[in-house]
Amino acid sequence: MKLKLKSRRLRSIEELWAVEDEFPAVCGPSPVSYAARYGLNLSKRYLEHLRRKANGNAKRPTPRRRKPASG
Amino acid sequence: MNIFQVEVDGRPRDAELRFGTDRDAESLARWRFPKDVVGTEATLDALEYARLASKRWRYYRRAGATVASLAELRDKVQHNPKAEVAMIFVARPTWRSPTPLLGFAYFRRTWCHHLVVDFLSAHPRVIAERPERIRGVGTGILYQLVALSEEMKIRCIWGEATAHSAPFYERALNVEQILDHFFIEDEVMRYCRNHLRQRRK
Repeated sequence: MKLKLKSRRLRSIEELWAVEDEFPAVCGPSPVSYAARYGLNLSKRYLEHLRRKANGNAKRPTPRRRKPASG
Repeated sequence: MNIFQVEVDGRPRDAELRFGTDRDAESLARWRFPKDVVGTEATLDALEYARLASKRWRYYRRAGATVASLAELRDKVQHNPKAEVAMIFVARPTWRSPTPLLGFAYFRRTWCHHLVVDFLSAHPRVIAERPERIRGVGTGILYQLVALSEEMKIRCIWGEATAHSAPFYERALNVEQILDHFFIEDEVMRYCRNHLRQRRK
């Protein structure tokens, strides 16, 4: 898709600085699709964040304890 | 090395931008966010982008397909016009700052002489505005990519955009709508280059 300019007016540097007040400069593809595409691992912290997001920020369930082996 | 202006706690300051080295790529994997800041979506993405960029750099490095200066880039392209090479831009403060690396871009020069931006991110401390409020790191790096394209006579810079980054690119490039990808070329490229010329005056 060809991008269309909003206007040809050159903006002041202050206007450019203000862009990041609303939108932080964190740009790239989805980490999940990028990692999958190139066979890279995501960090544990990020996977945990994704899990929480998928569960509506619910806390991670406490892992079930295994019963000690009998005998 | 290029200089661009950022705003630090309300005062204009110079940030320096240069090609990243192996050491810079390693340091990206060690990015952390401030202890007193709860990880937001943006800070967590920034950390993950830095790690992924560091990993990808290592792959390209092993294949001898990274460059750490403009001269090296020119040399590689001259030697093989269809070479794909990976590069990192790192932005550093020229003042005494607790954040030694303000942001980075990991990008590639493709076989057909375009630039693909894989990641462009400010440091989590810059995003969290701790301990300084620094504005203009992301737009500064983006416009330095345009400066490199001008220097290398590259006609197109493109990349993927997410729901979070599309509005940033729209505002930074002054364009109407960006969906999941963007192309800086033709009139948008000319507009960005005019911006750079205006700054240099």
